[in-house]
Amino acid sequence: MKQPLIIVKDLCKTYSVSKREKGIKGSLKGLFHREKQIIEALKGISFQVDPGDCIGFIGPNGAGKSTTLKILSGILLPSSGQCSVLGRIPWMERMEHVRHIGVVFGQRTQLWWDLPLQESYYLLKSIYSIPNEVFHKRMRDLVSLLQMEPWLSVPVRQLSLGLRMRADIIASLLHDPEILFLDEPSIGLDTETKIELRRFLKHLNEKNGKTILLASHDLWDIEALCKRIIFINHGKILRDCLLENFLKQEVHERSIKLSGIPRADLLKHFKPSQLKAETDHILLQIDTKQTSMAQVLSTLSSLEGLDELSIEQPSIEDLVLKLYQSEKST
Amino acid sequence: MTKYLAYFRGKMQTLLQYREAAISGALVQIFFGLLRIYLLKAFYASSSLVPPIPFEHAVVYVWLVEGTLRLAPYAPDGEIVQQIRSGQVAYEWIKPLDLYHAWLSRSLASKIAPTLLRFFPVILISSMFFGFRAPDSFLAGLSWLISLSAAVLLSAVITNLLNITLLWTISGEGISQLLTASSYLLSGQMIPLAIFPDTIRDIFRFLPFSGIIDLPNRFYLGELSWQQLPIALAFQFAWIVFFWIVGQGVLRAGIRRIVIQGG
Repeated sequence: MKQPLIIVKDLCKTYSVSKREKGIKGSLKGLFHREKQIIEALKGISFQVDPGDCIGFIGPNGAGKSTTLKILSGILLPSSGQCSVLGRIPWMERMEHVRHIGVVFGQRTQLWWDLPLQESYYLLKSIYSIPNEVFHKRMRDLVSLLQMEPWLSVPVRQLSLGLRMRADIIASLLHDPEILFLDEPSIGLDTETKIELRRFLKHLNEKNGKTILLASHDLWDIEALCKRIIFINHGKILRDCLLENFLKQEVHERSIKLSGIPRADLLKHFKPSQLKAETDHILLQIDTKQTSMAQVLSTLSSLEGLDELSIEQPSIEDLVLKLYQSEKST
Repeated sequence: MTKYLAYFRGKMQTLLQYREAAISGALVQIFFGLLRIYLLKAFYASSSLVPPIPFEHAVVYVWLVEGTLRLAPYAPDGEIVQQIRSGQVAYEWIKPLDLYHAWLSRSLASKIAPTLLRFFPVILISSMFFGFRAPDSFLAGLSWLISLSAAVLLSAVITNLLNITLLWTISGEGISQLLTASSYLLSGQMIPLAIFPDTIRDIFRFLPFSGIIDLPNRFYLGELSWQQLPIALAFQFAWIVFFWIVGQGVLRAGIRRIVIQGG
């Protein structure tokens, strides 16, 4: 039985924000009296993470993904609930806790802006008291994996966003943390850099056995990296399952792209609501809960004139969009 | 310890890059030094009273003030302002560091680096053309240097307290304007404290700011002898310890607030 690495139980977090009315009158009023508004960022979330997991947090803006990661990394104090990371409570044993985690916030940088990149790494070496040889080997490995050799002596402010992100990821790994928290690591990166980053993170997870918790809006990131997803909205966990199960569960609606068969023939077998005419083809919607794919295919092959047929694979983005919408309507 | 040293070195390195700023700063300080000397000259000429310090001393005092101008606490660390504005300060919190001492190391560097860059050109030019002179004795010079080192630390703990108040004020502009104005007057940068009326002078000399400029300068001028160094250091260190303790308390409160309110 593997001991869970991270245990989160009934975690809640409320903020109070002072509300200000609009306009000059409102601002003046605000000088004397401010109404407080309570925002519940997390309303009791619980989950566990096993060593070597790679978990993707999905959810719209303001859902509570970042808040969760911030509590786990010890930056935020929860309002109630429990949480332990590697057997430690992050905000109680901060100094020891942070030695074992690496954190990357996509929109921020921990690098020393005005100094050559490697200076930031040397600073981290001192901060984490990493022995000389260990440090040099680790830095060499990471730098060569992410191809950052040419940039080590360039001031950080002159690095492009993609380079800076790679540099930040190296910075978060120099002390060899067991767990890596990534909050929107691929924000603003171009496709090539994203793919490279994914490959690197996958390598970290699979070869080096690092546990990764990733919050991202880029579902392709999640799909490429994570075996398990946690879907959060309005501060609650809506789904916590393996990615493949998520895809299966949500996908009982498939569409088949057809061309060649006259619409009239199709209407003999399918309801008009299932057929959607496009410019040069027909989209046939089927619910796999009612009719199996095999049945539909055998029906179609019995019809004359079939020219082309393709089954559309719903993308994870479609699924998540649907989840968002079903959330809104309930 | 090495980690805080690394912070200090990093900040020093950042600051020592600004060569042009140092040159133009030194020129501005020469200009203001001359202006101040002429003001004092008018002041001395128009008064019939016996001046509390001879004019030549006042001149040396002015150049010491100009040379060490950036030593006074006057503004928070720009990078920390930036970090707090952008929320990047969270990154500092996820390092196995004591934030107070990490920031103190930066404050120390931010006092030492610009002072080093300006002190030598100002002193060189003013001693060649404008009446600056070496201290009377080696011991006077040594006492000045020791007392100046304590002054650096004193200024750094005050600056660090200012850094910490950023957790509430975000920009820190209000407090830093207030601090600039008061330290300018109270440290002796505006006019030597000796020239103030006796009661005011004594009150000013009791306040921490006098320990940053006025006190080391008096050792240089020989107004205080080296035997008085222990008392002077005790005065400076009393204030250093005071700000060191207060700063850490305030930081703890500030961090709690941030941790509660969210990054």
